[in-house]
Amino acid sequence: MAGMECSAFSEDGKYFGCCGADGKLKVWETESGILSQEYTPDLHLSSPFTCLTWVASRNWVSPRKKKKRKSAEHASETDTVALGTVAGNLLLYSIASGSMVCQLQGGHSFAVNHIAWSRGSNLFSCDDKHIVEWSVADTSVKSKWKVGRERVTCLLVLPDSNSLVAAGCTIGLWDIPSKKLIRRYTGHASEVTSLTLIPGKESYFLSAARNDRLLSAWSLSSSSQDTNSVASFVMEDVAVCVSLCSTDTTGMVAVTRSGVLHLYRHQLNGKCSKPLKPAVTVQIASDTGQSRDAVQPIPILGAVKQGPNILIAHGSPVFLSFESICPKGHEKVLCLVRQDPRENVKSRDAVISKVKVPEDDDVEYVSQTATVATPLKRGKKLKTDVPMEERLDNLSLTRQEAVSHKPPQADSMAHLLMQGLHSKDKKILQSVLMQKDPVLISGTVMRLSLQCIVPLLKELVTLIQGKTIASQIAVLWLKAVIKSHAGQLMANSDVRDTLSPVLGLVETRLGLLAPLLRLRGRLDLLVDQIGESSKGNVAGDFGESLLVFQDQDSDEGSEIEEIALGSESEDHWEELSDMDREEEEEEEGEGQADEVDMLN
Amino acid sequence: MAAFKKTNVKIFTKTGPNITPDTIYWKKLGVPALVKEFGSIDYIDFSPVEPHYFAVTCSVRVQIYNPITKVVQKNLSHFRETAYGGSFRSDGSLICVGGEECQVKLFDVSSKSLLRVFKGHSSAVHRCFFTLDKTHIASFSDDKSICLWDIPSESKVTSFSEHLDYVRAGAISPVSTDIILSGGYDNIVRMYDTRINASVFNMDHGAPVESVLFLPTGGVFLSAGGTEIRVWDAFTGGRLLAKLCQHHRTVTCLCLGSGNKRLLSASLDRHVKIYDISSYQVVHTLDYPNAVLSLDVSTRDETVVAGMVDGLVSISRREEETRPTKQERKKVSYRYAPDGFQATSVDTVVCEEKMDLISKHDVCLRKFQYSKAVDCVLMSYITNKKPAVTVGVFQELIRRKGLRAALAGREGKSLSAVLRFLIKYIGDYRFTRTLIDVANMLLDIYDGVDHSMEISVLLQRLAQRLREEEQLTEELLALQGALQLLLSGASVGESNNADSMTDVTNIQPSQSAQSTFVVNIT
Repeated sequence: MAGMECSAFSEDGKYFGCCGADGKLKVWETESGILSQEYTPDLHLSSPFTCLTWVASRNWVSPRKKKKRKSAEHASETDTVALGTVAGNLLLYSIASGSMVCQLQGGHSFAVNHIAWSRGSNLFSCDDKHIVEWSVADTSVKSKWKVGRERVTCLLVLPDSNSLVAAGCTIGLWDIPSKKLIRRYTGHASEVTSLTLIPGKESYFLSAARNDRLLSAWSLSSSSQDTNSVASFVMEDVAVCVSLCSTDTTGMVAVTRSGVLHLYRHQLNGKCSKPLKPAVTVQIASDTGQSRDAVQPIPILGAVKQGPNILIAHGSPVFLSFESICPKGHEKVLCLVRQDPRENVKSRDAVISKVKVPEDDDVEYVSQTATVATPLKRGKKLKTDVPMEERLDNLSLTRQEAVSHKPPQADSMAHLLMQGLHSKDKKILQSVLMQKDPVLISGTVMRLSLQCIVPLLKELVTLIQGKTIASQIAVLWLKAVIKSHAGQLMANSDVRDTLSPVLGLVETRLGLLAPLLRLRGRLDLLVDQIGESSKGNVAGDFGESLLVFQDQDSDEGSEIEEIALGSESEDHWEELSDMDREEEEEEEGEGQADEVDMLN
Repeated sequence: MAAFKKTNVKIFTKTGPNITPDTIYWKKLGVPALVKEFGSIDYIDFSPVEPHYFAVTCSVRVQIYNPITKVVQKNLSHFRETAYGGSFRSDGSLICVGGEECQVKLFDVSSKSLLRVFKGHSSAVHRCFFTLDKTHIASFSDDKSICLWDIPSESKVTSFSEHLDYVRAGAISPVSTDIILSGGYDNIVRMYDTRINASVFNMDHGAPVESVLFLPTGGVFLSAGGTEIRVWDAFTGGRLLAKLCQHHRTVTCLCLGSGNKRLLSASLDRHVKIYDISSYQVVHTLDYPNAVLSLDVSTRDETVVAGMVDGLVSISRREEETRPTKQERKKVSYRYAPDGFQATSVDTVVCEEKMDLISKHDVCLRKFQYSKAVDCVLMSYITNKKPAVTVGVFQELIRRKGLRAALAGREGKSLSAVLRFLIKYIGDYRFTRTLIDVANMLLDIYDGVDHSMEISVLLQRLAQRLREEEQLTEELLALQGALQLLLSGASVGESNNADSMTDVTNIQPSQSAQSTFVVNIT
């Protein structure tokens, strides 16, 4: 049901309210483009909203209602949304408090078609047959009268608060105190959907009707008794929203159902027989960049004229964007290229989440440039908008450095390890088990649940039989496990079977230790010799030759000398290597003896 | 005419609990025999020795049942008021019983005679146990105290009164004669050491404690109370290891089964849950007709006895495993066969001869081209994927005494390949022994040769590797020490249970025991 959806800007353009088919009221802040409030009333499915009107509520705040409207004490007006429901009730929703302030009942027995309000007047609402004047202060019906045979679909309260325009297929002007019909205008073939007052000396009002591509302007002045329209404006499609500015009357904007905005710059003065054409037509398209032919149009959902600027809402009810445009120049058609709001919804989510965290007191922006530019211009100057990543980078979180260089916490490690053991995921297990820090290991093991100990033990037993590095790390882990879970391991009689491979491994390694040590001693000697000889080659021309002859016992110096002087000579090499070998064998024998001593 | 098409019956797989070995095992318990007793069943204890009689404490008597015939074998009825917590000594010859009379009584099981009466409590004694040295009894009383009694002298050794409420649960350490555990209605579990005459540490259970239990190694103990069972670590000063919340009403009793691999917990919610000790996961549940107050399992899970609030004792016994007799194969009779008949098949099967694939290195070995064989197995594919083949070839060369010939005369690349292999795999304990020999041989051959830069670097790396291996072996030795301690600790409990019962007690009834005379008129 398209008729279910209704949307409107607040008077000052700060908020944009929208009632979708889901029966929820959504209120956006136009400056930041954030969905600031969402209200789901009771019975929103059984009696959904039919109409929505913005009301500035100071006028009818009585002292008794102080509790309900706190802002009453302040002089400022608070924005309130008046909502009509299918059941015939009126709901007043306050933006300031973010809640339902009052409910007006008992006026209608059918669905509310329209609610009208003007500064300084009471609230009026209409159903198919009746018009009801409400006294909001005591939430009661002030007066109620029958209109006639026709349905009333739209109301307009005139600023003098004494007369009211009620429209069905024909439009009637009513005197409120006497409840009498003053005038009747004819011209629309279908039901009127919107009535808008054109402010000024000579008062006119505009009407848009269902299935009618013409906006009609009617004169309210009592001098002319013309029942026909004064002027008409041509549109591309049926009007959804019509807006004028009270201070700047040079233009009038209308948004059509097809999502196109028309701007008319006609000053109404007397009758105009020809239909007037829009001065500027504004369209929005998304540049997907994929093909030149297929350009996705983005519909404009609403617009409000603010002086020379026009604040427009475009996108879909789910992803709305707001933008203030100021069409100048003389092009008749203005096409704006914007990003598809669905694509940057991710960054918007981030914005929302950032806004929702009020306790980030210690968050400060490093550079002033990073602060968000005045959000009203947000849409227009998309390029100046700082991406989320940069903003996050600019946030000076005091602990950032410390956190980033810390090793993983034992707590999360324990979780990870448990997950790994549970799913037997090699990757996770490896990432956890390859940690070498003993503190971390013992912390992790301490936090493990009992169920994980036996699987961990099995994992470690396989690991310890692997390569040297894995084995070294597994030893660390195994020690930690034994330290912190000794009692549990002892109680479990299967542990002996689990651990027996480790004991066998240790025995095997122990048997290999002696030959290994011998080989190492031999290799060490060789390596030392290599190192020495290379050193001798490099540092041959140090003046050590004097010492050689003085020192009778040691022939090491002479060796160096010989190497340094005549490394080309094969004979020398042979001698040298023979001597080396002898020496080495001697030393090796000693080394073996030492080892035997140690082992004994 | 076409055959009649039968109705298609879909057989759906049955949904139900997974059948695990545990379910099958515990399902073998037969239909329980129900015996009606007077009053609620306070305590059930199995005798640790054959034929595993069990003592059921209820009302004013202790009944000793035969688990096979399921009838009362003996009846201890020297009580004026309700008896509580009759438990056997580890040799099964004595039984100690508390009761409303504020006394602990000691009976000889075989003669049913009252041997000792320990007086000193000022309120009912709900649990009493023999200590590990068999000469003391620890009793847990409603007067908030725990007393340790000496059996020979019938005197109080020590007492602890640190609890703030009734003490209804107690346990004796299975490894130490001096450690006593108590659980009170003040939610606290306390561990006492009789050598220092004070509590060592205490744990908050969070609910009145109904039962405490040591696992047989004494390192872990459990406390039951409320709907929870908590597992504590005694070695680390009472660290909470786990909480088991499987019951929805108060857990009343804990005991061990299946050779101390399973934990059983009984509860007022009419269930007995069986947990795996290693993981504390429920593996099976037994259902009973009424709230279970007491439970015990005989060794090897032959009999499970549960006592209920309304005085019913449920005795379920494991059914004998009847082995299905093997179906004897029907012999083919050749009685009527003619003489010389041989049942042979007519066809002769000719086996397809397969070419035996000989790998490259074996071909080389066969031709005594040792050096080439080594080159073959030092290909990067083999060294990376099948190092065992390379090591096998080395082994074979050692056996043939051809290693020297195979390794000699190498230089540059082929020498470095051998060294790289050594560096990579000398740490693998399966290959170490062979590779050490290879390395030694290599050093023998290339000792006096001037090494290029690359070779000397490789030699240094090999030395480094060996140092690492040495370090690792040291660490492993240290670990072995820790493991041996652990495993010997684990075997403590087992050896204690297998203790021979040499000291057959011959205790004469004491004065006070003789003066106590109760006549039951039934």
